[in-house]
Amino acid sequence: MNYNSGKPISGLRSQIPKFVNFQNIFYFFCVLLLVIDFSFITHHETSFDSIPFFYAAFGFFGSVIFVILAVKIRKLLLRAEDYFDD
Amino acid sequence: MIEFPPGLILIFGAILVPILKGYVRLVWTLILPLFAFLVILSLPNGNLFSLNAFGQELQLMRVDQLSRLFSYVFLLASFIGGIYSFHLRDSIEAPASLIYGGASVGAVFCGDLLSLFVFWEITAIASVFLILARKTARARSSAIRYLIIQIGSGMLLFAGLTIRWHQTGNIDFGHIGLDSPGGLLIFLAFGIKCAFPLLHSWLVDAYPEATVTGTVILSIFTTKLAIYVLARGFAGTEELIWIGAIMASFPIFYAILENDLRRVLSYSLINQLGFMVVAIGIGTEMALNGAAAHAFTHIIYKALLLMSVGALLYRTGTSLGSQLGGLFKSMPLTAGFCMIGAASISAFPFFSGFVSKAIILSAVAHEGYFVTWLVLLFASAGTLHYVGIKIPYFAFFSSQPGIKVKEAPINMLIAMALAAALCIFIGVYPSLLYDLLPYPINYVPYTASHILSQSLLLLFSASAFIILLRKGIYPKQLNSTHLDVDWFYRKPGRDLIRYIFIMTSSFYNHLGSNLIDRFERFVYQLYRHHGPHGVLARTWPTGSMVLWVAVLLVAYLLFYFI
Repeated sequence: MNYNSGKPISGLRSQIPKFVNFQNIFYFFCVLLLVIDFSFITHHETSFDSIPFFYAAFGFFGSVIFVILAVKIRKLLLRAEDYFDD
Repeated sequence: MIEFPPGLILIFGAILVPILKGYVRLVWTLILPLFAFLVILSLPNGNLFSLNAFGQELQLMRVDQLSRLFSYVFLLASFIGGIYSFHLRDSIEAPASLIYGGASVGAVFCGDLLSLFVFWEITAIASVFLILARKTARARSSAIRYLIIQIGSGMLLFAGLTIRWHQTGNIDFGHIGLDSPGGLLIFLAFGIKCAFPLLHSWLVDAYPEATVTGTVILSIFTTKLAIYVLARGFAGTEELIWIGAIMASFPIFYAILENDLRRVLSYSLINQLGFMVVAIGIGTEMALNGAAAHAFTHIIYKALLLMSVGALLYRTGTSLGSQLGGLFKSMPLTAGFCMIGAASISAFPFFSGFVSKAIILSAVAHEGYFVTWLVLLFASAGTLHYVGIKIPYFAFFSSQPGIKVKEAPINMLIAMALAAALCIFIGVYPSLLYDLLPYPINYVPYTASHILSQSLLLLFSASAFIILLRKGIYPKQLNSTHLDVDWFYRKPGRDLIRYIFIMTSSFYNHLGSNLIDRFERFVYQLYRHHGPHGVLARTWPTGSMVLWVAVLLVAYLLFYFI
């Protein structure tokens, strides 16, 4: 079983600094949208989406939760690439 | 006006395809869906063509808004698929794709369950060739599993329709509902093709094993046909709401972990079907409009994503995330089209997914299903992660030096450009799609609240991706298998069948050898008594016969005197 042939995560990280400026713009947009959302817009699709920053918080923490859950689930589900081939 | 099922245009037209070559074949494969589209366009609504068989009237052309919408998008996708597969020299895939598409178009116009069953089975048989055409051992065994499950779905449909026929005396395909055993069996048959949870493994098993073009074609028809028949037969069935919610959420985990990008897209297909199934479960006019609209946009952006990953597979020979990366420079156009598909499936404002998913979310919220609404919101954030970001990132932007390839072939680029243009066009002018929907709709997707809430959800979900990747928490792309429901029939199920086979064969061997033993002994005994030297076959002298007659006579006399 060769689980280490995947792409090293350091390779991914080394790519990211090239996007530092892009990232700053990205975060600027995030904050800008939050400000607009907080100041001007009211949501009334459901009874609780009018809570300030609901969508932003849901998007962020929802993502963190399912990635962490996926990592936990992987321990149970991971098998070798040729597990079914025999 | 032509009065015969328009699906047959593609099915009979496909017969000519193997003998045509080059551009003539391309033109022919494009003319067929175009012609069928014009035919449908010219038809009025109503039941236009029926046959009398088995004492029933088979309705082969029930034309209404719902069947029109699905037939349009099937033909549109067939058209784009025809361009995408122009490079094929193989004489099986192209006709199989056309027959598959034709049967799907035929099925959406069926007004009765028996003719639906016929087209249902044709889609199963035609589609299996798209997997077999990969010509690998894995694809072959996957194709056999796929065929068994698809035919199984057909058998359930047939069983359900015969029970219904027996109980109600007719086989009309209208609202069915779950209140009869026949209805339950039909629901299960539709559920298999719709990849309900626990019945979904055929999809993620077979689709990634098909050919480059095969996966694109497969993603279009079977599951969306299932959505159509569910909308027709089971609208408003409450059970579908939680079934859909599970479908929308569980594939997220697999899609984050999975390495093969085509398998990631297969899991994402189930997740998107979940949205439609929830909407059908709600069953209001707005929700059904949402399901139909989402099926329409989904077919196009999913085909676009699979076409771009297919182009990668075609050029690099792999679709594994762990082996791809950095292809942005060699395949910039494919990368651009892939990102348009990714933006559409993630439902970014001004892309097609936004205008259809918003209807479903609004319908769910409007009917007060808040938990389901939260699950769908969670699934939307998940979609952005594993398709919106993961696919373009691992295919085109992550650093993986060493792969230098040519841009995708021109026919693939044209097909992707068409699909990408549609994704943007529908996103910007949603009224074009809304006019095709089955019920009148008065929905405005582009309100400040909608745009802002969706943008916040997506941007903050994306920021979580960046942070998790930088922290090293995001799961690595590993060459691996992740167990799914198919484990049950591919490991213990297979072992059980092998065990039963060994046991029954040894039982028969034992039984056989025992029987043969007994038979041999019987023949031996027969031979001993009746053979040439047997007691009963011997030629006795006349004197001994006289002696025995005398003995019998004496015995007779004795009995007489007693």
